Amino acid sequence: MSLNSSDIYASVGGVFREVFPQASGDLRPELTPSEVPGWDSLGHVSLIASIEDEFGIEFTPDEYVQFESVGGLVALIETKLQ
Amino acid sequence: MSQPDEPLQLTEVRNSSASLTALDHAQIAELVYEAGREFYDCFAMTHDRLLEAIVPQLVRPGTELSGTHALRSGGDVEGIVSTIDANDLRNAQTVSVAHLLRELTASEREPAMARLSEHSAVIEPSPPEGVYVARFAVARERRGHGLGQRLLAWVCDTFGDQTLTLHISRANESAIGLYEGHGFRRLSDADFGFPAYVRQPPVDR
Repeated sequence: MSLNSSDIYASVGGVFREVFPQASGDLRPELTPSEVPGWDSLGHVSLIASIEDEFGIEFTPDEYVQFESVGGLVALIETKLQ
Repeated sequence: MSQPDEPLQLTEVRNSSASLTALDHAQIAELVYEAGREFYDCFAMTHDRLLEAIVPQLVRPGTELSGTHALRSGGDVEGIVSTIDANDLRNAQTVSVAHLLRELTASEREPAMARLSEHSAVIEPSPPEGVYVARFAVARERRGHGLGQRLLAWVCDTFGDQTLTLHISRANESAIGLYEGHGFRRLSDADFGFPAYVRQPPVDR
């Protein structure tokens, strides 16, 4: 079964709430680390590890720092799942 | 043991993995752990589980340990040194931490992240230039024979035409003496538990 963007957003939202419990509001594509409490460099690492677990994918070293927004992350996940 | 009158036999782990035994890898991982004990202890894994998690990082590209060399003699690993382009350090640390976090359960991750956050706060920021020495260790039973001096001399000979940077616990006076003897100097007087030490390349005359 393949996941579409809204499925991915729903799953990413679950991961976000778990990794960044202080984050509030909806998960928007344009959301960036500076707007999310806890999304610092360590938070980024934790997010990556949880996303990899959630989707059963593994990012390359370049991909770890490739995305700078939620939309970029979702696009990257879509690419990895294709 | 490596003899003083013979050149050091260093093996690049990533490109020689097939010729290294499981025991070699375990010994290398043990020394990697000793060199980065304060960092690895943040993950609070059992020792065996941690060593198992370190081994794949030795052979994967893009981790802090991808550039690990092992000093071997008589079937034993006597020392290790891991170097990385300082420009790649931040990405490599991200990859290494993420790989280790993936070994933890969700409930283990949160306290590990808290400990990592505390640990990273005592490490002095260092400039992203030249080569970073990410791990450096000599096996406990081989210390006292000058191997640390020779291994560090190899690092300086091999990479010393570039700026070399490393971090060392300010409590580790013997290691600080070793590094200072090879031209490393503190980056600043700032109060960090793990100050940065930098060795500038010789100036051409």
